[in-house]
Amino acid sequence: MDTLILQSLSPAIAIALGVIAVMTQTAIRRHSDAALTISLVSLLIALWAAFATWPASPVQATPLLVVDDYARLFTIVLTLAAIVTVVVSRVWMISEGLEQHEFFMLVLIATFGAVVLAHAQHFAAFLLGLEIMGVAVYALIAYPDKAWLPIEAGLKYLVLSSASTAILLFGFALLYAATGALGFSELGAALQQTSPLLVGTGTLMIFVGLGFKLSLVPFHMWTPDVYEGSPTPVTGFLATVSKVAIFVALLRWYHSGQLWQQATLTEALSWLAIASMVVGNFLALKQDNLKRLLGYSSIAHMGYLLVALVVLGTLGKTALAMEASVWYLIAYTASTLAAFSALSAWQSRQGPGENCQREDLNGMFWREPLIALVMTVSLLSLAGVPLTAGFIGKFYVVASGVEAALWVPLAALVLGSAVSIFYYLRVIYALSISTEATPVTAMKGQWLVQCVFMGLLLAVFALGIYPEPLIELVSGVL
Amino acid sequence: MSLLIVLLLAGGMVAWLSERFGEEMPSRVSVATLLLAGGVLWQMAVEVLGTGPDFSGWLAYESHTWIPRFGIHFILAMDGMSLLLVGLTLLLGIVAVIASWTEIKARAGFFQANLLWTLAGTVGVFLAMDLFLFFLFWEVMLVPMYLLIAIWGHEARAPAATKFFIFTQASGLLMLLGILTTAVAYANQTGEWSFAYMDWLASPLKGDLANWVFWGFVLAFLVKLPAFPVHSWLPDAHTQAPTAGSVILAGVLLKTGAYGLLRFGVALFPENAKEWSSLLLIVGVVGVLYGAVLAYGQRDFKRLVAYSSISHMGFILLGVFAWNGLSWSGAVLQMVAHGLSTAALFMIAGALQERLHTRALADMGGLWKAMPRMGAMAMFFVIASVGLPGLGNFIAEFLVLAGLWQSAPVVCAFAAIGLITGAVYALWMLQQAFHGPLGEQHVGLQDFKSRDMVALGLLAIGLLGLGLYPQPALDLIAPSLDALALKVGG
Repeated sequence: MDTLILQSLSPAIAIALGVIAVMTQTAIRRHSDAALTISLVSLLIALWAAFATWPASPVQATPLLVVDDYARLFTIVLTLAAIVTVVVSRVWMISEGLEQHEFFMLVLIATFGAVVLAHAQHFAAFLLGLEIMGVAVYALIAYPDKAWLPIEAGLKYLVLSSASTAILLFGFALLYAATGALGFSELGAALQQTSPLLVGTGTLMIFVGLGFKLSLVPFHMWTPDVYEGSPTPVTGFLATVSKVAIFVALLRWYHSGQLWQQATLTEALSWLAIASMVVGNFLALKQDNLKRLLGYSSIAHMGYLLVALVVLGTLGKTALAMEASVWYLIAYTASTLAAFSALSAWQSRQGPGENCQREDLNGMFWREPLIALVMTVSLLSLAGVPLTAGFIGKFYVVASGVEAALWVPLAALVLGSAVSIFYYLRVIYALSISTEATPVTAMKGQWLVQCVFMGLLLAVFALGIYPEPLIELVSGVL
Repeated sequence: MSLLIVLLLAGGMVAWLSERFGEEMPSRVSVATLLLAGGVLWQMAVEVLGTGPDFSGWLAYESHTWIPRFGIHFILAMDGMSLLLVGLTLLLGIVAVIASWTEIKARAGFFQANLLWTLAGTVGVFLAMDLFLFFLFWEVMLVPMYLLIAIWGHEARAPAATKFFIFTQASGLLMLLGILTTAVAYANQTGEWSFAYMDWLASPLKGDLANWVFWGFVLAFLVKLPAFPVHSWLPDAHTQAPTAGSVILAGVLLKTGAYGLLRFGVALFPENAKEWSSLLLIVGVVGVLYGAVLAYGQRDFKRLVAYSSISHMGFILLGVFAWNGLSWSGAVLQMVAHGLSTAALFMIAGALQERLHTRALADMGGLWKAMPRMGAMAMFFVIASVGLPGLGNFIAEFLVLAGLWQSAPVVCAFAAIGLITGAVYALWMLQQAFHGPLGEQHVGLQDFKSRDMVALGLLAIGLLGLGLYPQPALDLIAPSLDALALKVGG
């Protein structure tokens, strides 16, 4: 039995070993390419391990973690996102002239935390994963230690994130006081017989805490500042891996903890969703900095995702809404990561400094066709234009919303999407403006980045054009 | 049929890549692709028209499983109406390429690629019989069109392109919501998912929900048409687009809205359509008159033609909701005739801008003396769009009015005024641009070359054919419209 547990946890173990290996290697002799290779190899082993054990029946690895296909699927998604981050950030660090070793290590630690979150079936694991990931991310944000903005962003994120974790913990404590359980499903079973006041307050506090981390309106204030201040590859990591992992754990809690039975919570979530969609999209309109823009748009995207949760709360556990959330998470990860990777690659090509105002992107189409293509496709996918992964995600969410007849959130979704097109298009337009004839310079010697870009493009298009394989996979997982 | 679409998509790629082999290469590749696609269509038309429709009532039909989770199939089907419209699309595609032959110098390859991809989307819209696929093509034709306007447009292209995209996309989202509502209702009713047009026809949506869904669809189509009061994207987009963009936009993209109304709006929701028909007739007649009045007020050649489009497209809306076979065939013919005549006018407008570097009517005048070929062509197409008997537009508008008279005589009387106002602004435009004294700076302008004359000649022949002997076209679309009448009781 122990071998089975070890075997099924092997992806997480591979990443943890990777952390130790990078640490040891750095202590012996600092060599950035070696650190890069070790990180990539450990992530690839994790990826392979997750694939190799798939599909299998759920394994209870300790009371804290469960290894099922759902966890494996997201282990793969999160690991892939980490690989992209590592590859893209290397180029950025070279152009900024930064030391690279610790960065890779921090990415690995954060990914490890995210993978733990994907497996969590107990609040202890939930908290462990959250904090392992969180602490690494603070350091990642403030990694360029000579610049002001990252330090400010790191500090902001540190303070707010710790405060929200405290609220979260209080919520756990209240739930524990009411039910005496911390495991997701035991909690769900115990919820029925206990006092609604304690449970309600506890759940609410947990959602406030998570609302901060997922940047839902009205807990979103930190998002644009931190997005702007963080180094771009880290922003991409923050926007995808850290949010997705939290949402994955939340989704597991939501359905195995039978939270959907609480009508008040569903009501509250639906207002959070509406507020996030409307506020996120409208505030994004006013942004000239692409990172702030994507920050606000990610608020809106979390709102779209919540709609699927509200559907779960309205109809009980329906296959459609579960599939919708999982699909949307994957599509969102691919598109957002592509957008930030493209921006990061563009910035590194422009030399050191932030260059992510909208006018800094002018003429990208004619100077860096590949980067511009990735950027355009990812923005179109975020806007939900057909033939991209984002469209299928939105299609899923709308379909599940229609099934539950949630007309008000759907109206907010349509309004928000219509608004969002405007700001996405403005960026795409900026890419197409011709500037003084600068010769087309292909990205030379960066075959790794090129491979990653091709992979991202392929993912966004393949999922949009022929989604059936992933649909089958996702419905098999749930 | 999928061959047609694949051909256009692949042609776009080839045209893009052919950029490096010379400046004119992309245009040549485009024309070759379109001719090839035309050949395929011709072959298909000859084949299927010889044998007649198959058991399902379609001239041609193909279906592949695509996303079984939602019962989505890749269904393309063609009847007489789609055949006619696909033919129009390909013809206008060639005209558009010729119109931009010398205009587009920068990044010609990418330009032609976008042009062909827009056409591929449009052909897809006319053929798709699965609502998911239809929506997909509906959106896919937008992105390249947006790029055409945003990259190669005139001075104020950014707001125009954005406005165009947002109007269509926002209304498209409403349609998506409508499509999904119908699909979910269908799934609840029958226990399985389907987006197929034929399935939906067999078990239509009923009740309150149908009313909302109907408006979701109709709003998307009205924006595309465009009808008053959701027309305001059109003058900007048409004016700022490069010539080929305007030709495609006015010639075929607007027709997808009209087609959608007839194929989906009316056929899927007959009761709701009938219920709202008087309101939509009023919207149509307001569009006819409002477009005409505004056209008269324009001082910009392209803007004038753009507003005249709103007026002429109002006739299509009237034709659709006058609710009888006569007016429906009028509406379909109007799609074709307006496509031909407006495409020609936009081509002439583009040629003028290329030579004079202005679109202002005040800076023109007497151009007939400098460019007699262009002047003669302009006169022909202006007269056609005014609705001179013997040309296609006359037959179409006459059929619409005749049908309308049976169902709504008062509306018909107002709509008929549109014919008069149409003559006023169109002739005024012709006079301003081509008659009067020739300005000194305009002496020695380059007249149309034979390449341009061939393109315009094709359009002229089409209009003459429709005007003098419309019966073949009417016969072609009759089965589709009879089936519709049978379905909705027109």
